[in-house]
Amino acid sequence: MPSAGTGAIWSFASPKRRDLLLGIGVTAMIAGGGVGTDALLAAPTVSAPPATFVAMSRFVTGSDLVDDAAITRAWAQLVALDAGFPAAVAQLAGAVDKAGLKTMTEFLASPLGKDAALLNTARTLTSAWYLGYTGTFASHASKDDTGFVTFAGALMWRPTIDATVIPTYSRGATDYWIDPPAGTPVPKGAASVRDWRGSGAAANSSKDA
Amino acid sequence: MRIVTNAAVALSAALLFALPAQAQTSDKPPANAEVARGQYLAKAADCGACHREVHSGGPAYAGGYVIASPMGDIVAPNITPSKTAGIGTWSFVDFERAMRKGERPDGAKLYPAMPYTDYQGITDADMHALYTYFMQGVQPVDTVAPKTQLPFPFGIRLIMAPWNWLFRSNTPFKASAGLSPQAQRGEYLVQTLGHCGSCHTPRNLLMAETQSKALAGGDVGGWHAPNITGDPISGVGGWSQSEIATYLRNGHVSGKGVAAGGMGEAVDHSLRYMTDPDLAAIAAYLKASKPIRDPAESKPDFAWTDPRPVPLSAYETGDTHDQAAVGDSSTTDGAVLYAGGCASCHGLDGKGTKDGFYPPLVGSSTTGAANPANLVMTILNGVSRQGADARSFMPSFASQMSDAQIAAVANHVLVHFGRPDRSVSANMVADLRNGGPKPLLLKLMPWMFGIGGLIILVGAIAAARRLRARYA
Amino acid sequence: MAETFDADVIVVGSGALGSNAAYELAKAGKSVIILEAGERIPRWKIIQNSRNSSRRGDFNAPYPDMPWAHTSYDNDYLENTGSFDFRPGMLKLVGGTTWHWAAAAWRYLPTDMTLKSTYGVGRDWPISYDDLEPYYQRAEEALGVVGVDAQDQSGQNGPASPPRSKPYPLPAEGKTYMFQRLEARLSPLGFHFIHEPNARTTRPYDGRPACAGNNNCMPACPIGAMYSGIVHADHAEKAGAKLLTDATAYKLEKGAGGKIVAVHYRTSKGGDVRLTARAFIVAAHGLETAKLLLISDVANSSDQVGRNLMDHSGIGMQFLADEPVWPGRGAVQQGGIFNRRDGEHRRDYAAVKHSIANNVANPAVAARLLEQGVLGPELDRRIRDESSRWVDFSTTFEMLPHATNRVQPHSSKRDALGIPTLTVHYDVDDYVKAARPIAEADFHTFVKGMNGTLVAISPGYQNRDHLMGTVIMGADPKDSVVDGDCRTHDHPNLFLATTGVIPASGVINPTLTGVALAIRMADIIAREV
Repeated sequence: MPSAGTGAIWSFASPKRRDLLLGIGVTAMIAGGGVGTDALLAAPTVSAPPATFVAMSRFVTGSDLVDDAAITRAWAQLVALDAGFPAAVAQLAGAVDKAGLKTMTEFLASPLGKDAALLNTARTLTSAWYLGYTGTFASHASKDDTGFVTFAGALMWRPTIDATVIPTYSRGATDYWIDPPAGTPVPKGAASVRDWRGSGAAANSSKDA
Repeated sequence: MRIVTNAAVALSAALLFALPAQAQTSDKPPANAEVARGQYLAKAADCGACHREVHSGGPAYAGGYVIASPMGDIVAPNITPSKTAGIGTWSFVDFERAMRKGERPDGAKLYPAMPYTDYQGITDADMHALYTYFMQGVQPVDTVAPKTQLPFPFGIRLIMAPWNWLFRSNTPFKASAGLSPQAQRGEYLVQTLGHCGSCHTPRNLLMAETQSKALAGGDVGGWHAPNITGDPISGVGGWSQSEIATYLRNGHVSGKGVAAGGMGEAVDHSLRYMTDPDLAAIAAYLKASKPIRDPAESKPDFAWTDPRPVPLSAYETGDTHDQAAVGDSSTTDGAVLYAGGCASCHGLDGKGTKDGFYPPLVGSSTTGAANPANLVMTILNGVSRQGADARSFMPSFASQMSDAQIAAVANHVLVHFGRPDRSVSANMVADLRNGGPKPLLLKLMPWMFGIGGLIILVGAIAAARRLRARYA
Repeated sequence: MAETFDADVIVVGSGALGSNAAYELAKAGKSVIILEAGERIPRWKIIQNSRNSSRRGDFNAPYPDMPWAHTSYDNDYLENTGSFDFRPGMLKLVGGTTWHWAAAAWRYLPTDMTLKSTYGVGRDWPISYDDLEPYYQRAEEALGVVGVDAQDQSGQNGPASPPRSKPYPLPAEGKTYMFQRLEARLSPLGFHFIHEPNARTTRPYDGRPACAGNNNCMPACPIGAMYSGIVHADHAEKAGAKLLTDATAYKLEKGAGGKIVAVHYRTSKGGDVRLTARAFIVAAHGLETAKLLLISDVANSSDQVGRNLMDHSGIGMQFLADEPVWPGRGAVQQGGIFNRRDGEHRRDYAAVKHSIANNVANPAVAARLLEQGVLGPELDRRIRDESSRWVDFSTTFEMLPHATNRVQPHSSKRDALGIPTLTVHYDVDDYVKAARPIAEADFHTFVKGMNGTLVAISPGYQNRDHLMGTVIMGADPKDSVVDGDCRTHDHPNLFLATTGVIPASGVINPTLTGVALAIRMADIIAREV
């Protein structure tokens, strides 16, 4: 098991950022790739995601997305939300290809990074993969236009996977949260507030007030 | 041997005094070294595992706890020094007779749920210490535990007479030659006080331990007590001595396994109280014990360490937006059941948490066992165990999943994290839910005509034994 | 000839309150039937739903919203006519709405229960804190509540308060690093940090594991460490109670002598059933309980059923501290700042509770950064930085009862069973509005104290899902629905197990009080039937 993702050696430059998912061990699964045919069969009957969609998803996120079921879901939902989406993706892919850009950093620094339409497409793609859903969430309602893409695979968890959990999953023993994540600079005098005031054995006979 | 034992006991007593947390609240504080030693030995003998109240937290040794034996429910009697409800009127001779011979002062036979065939070998000194402790160190409780009433023919305690004649030894414990003094101490603990064979030695047709297969693994109420002989494949030969000692003390060892069921109770009630030298001695003996190999096996149960990856899409199946589907829990898709029921703690990759708080399902003697019974039993019953280091708990899934669902999730674990050439059926889960396969003796019972049949059977087995002994 | 009944007691609703009452009665040897509108759904399925929803922010999403058992976020089911969109996260399934809550398990203060006589506003309870104290203890033991015995929960930094007869059943969880950092820097400014007693076990308890900080109390605890009504729904069944699912009560039938003689329920598969009992407990949530009484035309001689609806309408504030405090480690909340929980100011404006949310901040932070147009590697860098410094306050206000704030059966809409849906009319009152500037001033002090950057203070008011007042408790049958025992003034054998009986809202989550009242009620009924 490769070691990665402990706070002290955190590096954003790592091309293997997905390794940071080791915290809950999604990596092996994602790296394992492959998709059950069941998931493909269950997907909505739309055109298969074009290679440009996958390529642009990977380009904007800097991540080698491999969950084909999630790719299929994301594509179907984004097309359903916006009939112009396939054309927008094609436009982005064409522009990136023409400019010979290899990374998002290059894209944002280039003239393309000032193009509102291209930026909007990049943001739509990024949003789907980072938040793990498409559409706009409406609270206190039972319906909206959101669609599920992925939960544990959502990229927004990656940058903190050495410090926090993907909700619903576990990190360690009860009370692990008393200490900060490894590598957090701890200010002086921190020990004085570690315990609850009034807690402890002597506190267990309180009929005063 | 004598010197070694006394030295160990002296050390044990010293450690005991250094660890006040070990004393049970309902025990009187040990008045003298003999009582303290007896208290330690009673822990080592795990008397409290059975002779306790129905609910935990009650007074020690008051009895009433029901032991679900294949022959029926056996109620543990009150063994506090109460003169009305307990053993307060017993002389040392009475005590020793019960402990060694399985007979009460009135001559009534005990059932072998009381491991007198093992306790038989307890040294005189230890027996005295135990007696002293039970008379002087235990709080008398005047509550009479309910009587055991087994169904016919087991309700007739006299049937134990021929059984005792066949299976009870009368010779004092004698350590095996060739073992180190430490391993000899371990042998004594394993074979007498620890009565490890009660679970870990397979039982014969008449429910007695098969001594030729000592510690080679047995079945207890659905759980499989594994082979703990020194064999490196089928037994614990692949564990280091310190790993075994740690397991006995804490109930878990990373990369080896966790204790649940009866072993969890043994850790909780007995082993975690034992001294480091005694645990090391047990470990030394187990590693030195005669290896017994299942010829079908070629890999230790903890050595299934290469998980087969599961794609995230198998766990995240998507949102159907169908409210009926939201409420439908009938799936038998093992991946889906694993994701919802297991992955929150054990991780999507089955590796548990990095600190081991939630144990890995990869490289675990439970998921890599030749017999997947313990995996199923753990899912059905969960885990609740206090070890010396920490408390461990897993909730029961018996009421959350059907037999087919538990089989499906167990198979998912076996295929991806454990031993993929094993599988579990819904019928097996149903069997284990009801306490596991019935012993042959019980299955044959309808065809036997009560005691008559039993005596013929006993006679046949006795003849076979003598014959075998002659040619052995 | 002796009259025969289908059960000694029928309980309508299998949530935390109904199930605790049912369990106590079954344990006392009474025959009990529990009617549940929804179905039984195992925890693993709820977690699987939760992880496969595009609506993770909707705590109702993992639970079915069926045409015959609607949840509250269905706008077709719950219609609002007032200035505030009153929409608590009500669920319908075995175990009830405590499937999603953050398990706050507070006791009221004695002054909360004497609001009128102490501060001259609102109403007094007809029973005293001392009447309730032993039942608070039993409720805490039922729920496995963890807490700090010696702290002053009134927030005045005084001696232990409110009084307790016994210690908490379990010790408090460890203090999160975030809580430590906020306390270290804000308590010198005079803010009193209080641990929130809660029903997340800190060691194995009653078949539940210890909380391990999976940070998902809402929409559901993945491991069952957090208490939910399902615990006592199961206990009640094991103790002999009969639980019927897909059984929506739609009528309480009046008989001779003012007694209720039967409850009628309907199933989605068609068919109405009439069940008789010696006593009835309606434990069907603060909104639905009132609706059932109104459509049955019972218990309403005071015309107060459905009125006096109260929630602790709240506001929220987020900021970025100047140091990493790392929210999201541990459970989703564990206490807050309580200076304004009690005091003379309650004559003039609402009590205020500042809770500190402890959700993993990534979803909120990432959504905000995407809105700002942050893309590429910068997005990762800023998610990490801002998620580590994110501080989220969730503030609640005390509310007073007003007859105009009310829930009613809808005048025309019907659900799939032909039963009226819900209409709510709710306006946040001046007592709350007067407290808002005080709370907002606190917010700015918090931000300054952490040398932080304000992200937002929520506009308007937020739901807190604490249903109170709809079947209000009081001594006078002319202006209240139930007496201090939760017995309806009009029907001697009809009891209401709902936080809807609470006449003075205080500022703390009312579930523990509801369970304490339910257990107390069960004791009374057990003596009578």
